[in-house]
Formats: sequence, structure tokens, C-alpha cells
Amino acid sequence: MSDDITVKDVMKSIFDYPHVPYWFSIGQAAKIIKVSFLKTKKYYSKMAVLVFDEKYNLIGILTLRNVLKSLNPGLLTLCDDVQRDDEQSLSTLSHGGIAGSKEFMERPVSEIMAPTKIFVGPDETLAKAACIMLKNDLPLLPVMEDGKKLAGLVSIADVFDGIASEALE
Amino acid sequence: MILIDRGSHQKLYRQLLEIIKGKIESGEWSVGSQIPTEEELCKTYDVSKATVRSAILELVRQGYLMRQQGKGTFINKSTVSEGIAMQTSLKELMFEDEFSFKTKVIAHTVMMPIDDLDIRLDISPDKHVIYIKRLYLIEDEAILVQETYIPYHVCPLLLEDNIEDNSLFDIVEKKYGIKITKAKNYIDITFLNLNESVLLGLNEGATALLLQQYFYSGDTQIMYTRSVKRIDRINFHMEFERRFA
Repeated sequence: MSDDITVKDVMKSIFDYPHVPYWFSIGQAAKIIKVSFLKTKKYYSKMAVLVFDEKYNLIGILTLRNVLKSLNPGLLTLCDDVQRDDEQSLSTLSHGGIAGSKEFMERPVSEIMAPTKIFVGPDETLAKAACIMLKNDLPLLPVMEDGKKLAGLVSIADVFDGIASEALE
Repeated sequence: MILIDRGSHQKLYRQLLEIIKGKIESGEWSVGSQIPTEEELCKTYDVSKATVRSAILELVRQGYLMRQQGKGTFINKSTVSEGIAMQTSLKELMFEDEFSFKTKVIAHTVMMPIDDLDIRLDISPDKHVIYIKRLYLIEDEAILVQETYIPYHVCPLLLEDNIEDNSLFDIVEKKYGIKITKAKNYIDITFLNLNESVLLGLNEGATALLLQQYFYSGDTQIMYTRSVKRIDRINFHMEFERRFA
């Protein structure tokens, strides 16, 4: 059963993901996402940037979702309208987004990243990791050895892969 | 007019660099004059902006060109003197042997090469880079802020090392056995940014000495260092030895 598979069987190296210090700007992070994922067509991996402090401790994760959500706060409130196909409110939104985006891009990534608070140990079961990720809506879960050393990361895709292959056997 | 040879094994930016260098050395482009814009060069030689940028940056590094913010790129008045090979102790240029210094580690982390760091380190922009920022103190007075960038794959274990009060140079050479065989040094004047001014206890925008160093092991570039030093504590001593062939 999937309970037998542990986190360390499916986790990926932290170097599969770009790293930035928290003082990098959102614009710099956006460029990094472009060169690290979009240009190399690495769409299959979870597109996220790891945010570290000056002592190389992981403090947050930045996903495309974080960037888009913060780019224009109106984006979220207007989501309902989008479903109603309200072309007009959509067009005002895109104008607002472009006008305000320059200053936004100068702000540090620490303002919009999702702080990492929840971790999992390498020997925990995959089922437990899956529970934590689903419950907290986490795209990526950091794996910590002895509660302090970052050993890797599991993505929803890694969890799915592990659990599905077990179930399909 | 010499054009880019796409059949050649030489990288495009290398070829463009040689073409521009030729124009400067032959005097076709005169000293002090402005060179064509990036867009014009792209068009003339049918190459990408990245290629033009790499060629220009390397020529700035080599001292042939000089960039002026908001104005453009110009032929440098003092082009590098060729012919005399000079040697100096690499360590002397690290400022590390001159006095008994202490260092305070401000940052010891990992980043991606932003801005033109990928070109400066000669790596692809999706490669991780170890970033070290240290403050040098002599008798408790902050004199130098040094930022060091090392491609992660060159020395991954450096992330775990204690780098306080240790020479990075010694760690890389003695502990990891990476022999530094060449260093290119560029000395310039700069103005302190906010963070540097706070660290050095000076006003933002104060004049400071900028030393940029590119370190190589054989043909591989292994490190780029940017040091900013306060100018009231400069004591520059270099010995050059002329090598006769």
C-alpha cells in the first residue's frame, strides 16, 4: 500500500528549483522563472522558486500563482465576473494590471511568497505528505532532516506518481 | 566589411568581439567616440541582442569600451597596454594579506545569476550560484564590502564551510584543490549604494573604490568578486615583474 512508500522515495533535489534570496525583486524572480522553466520547456516540473534567507534557510516558496495573485488584487475579486464572460470588467482589469505592474515588480519577493511553516520528515509516509499537502493546499512540501536540514522537496506530482504507481500495481 | 561567419566553430559573440576589437585597434572607430547602439549592431551583423551584449560586456571588461549610463558605449581613451606581461601576487589584490583583518559574514546563500551575472560567470542563466557577502574589518573599522559569486557546481561544499575570518581563496585552493591560475582585475571608482553605505558607516553615494575580479582555473571561470572599499583607507601596493620571453 501507499503507506509503505516514504517521502524520501519520491522527493526531488532542492536544486531542481531555482533559488533566490528574499531581497530579490519580484521582477528578478519573474525573469528567473522565465529562463529556468519557460525557456527550457520544463513545464513538467512544478514551477516554483525557493526563497532563502541570508544564512541559506528556506523561508518561503514563490509560485506563478503567488505572482499573478499579487500582480493585481482585482484579479481575485473579478474572478466571478470572468466566469460570466464580462468582457468589459476584464479589459479594465488588464489595464489596471499593466499600469501598476512596474512598481510591483520592484518589490521584494518576501512580500508575496508563501512562507514555509509546514515540513515533513524524510521517513514519513507518502500518505501523510499527501494529507498535509491537500489539507493546506500546498503545491510543494519541504522535507527536513532532524527538523532542521533541508533534504528535498515533494510536489503534488511526486506524491501522485508514488501513490498512483503503487495503486496500479 | 568583415561579417559573422555562421559556419565557423567560434561562438557568435566571440566573432563579433573580434570584429569590434579590430575596428578599435585599426583606428576605424576613434578613441572617445560612441559605438553604434545594440540595436544597430544587431541589425548590421544579424545577431541577437544577447550576442551583442556579451561581446560589449567582454570588451568593457577588457578595457576597450566604457559604458556611460543613459548615454551609450564609448571607445575607452586608455586601451589596455599589450606586450608587457605583468605578474603580481594574486593574494595582494585580494586585500587579504595586507593587514590582520576580521570578516563578518553578511550573507552565505544561493541565488540564480540575475542581470548580467551569467555573462560575468560564463554560465547558463538557469545555474545556481553560491553568493557570499562579507564585511572586512580592521581594528573594528569596516573598510571593505565584498560580494563573491561562485557557480554552485564548482564547489558545492563551500555552502557548509565556515567562511568567517577565512580566506575564500585559501578554502578553494587548499581544501578543494582548485588551483586558481589566472585573475583579471578591474579597478574603478564607484558610488556606495544604501546597503554598502550602512555597512561602511558612510553616506549613501559616497565615493569608493571598486575592484572587480574574475578568477579562472585553467580555462574555466570559477569565481567573480566585487569589492567596494572606502577610499580613506586605501594603501595600494603592487609589485610588477616584467617577464622577458
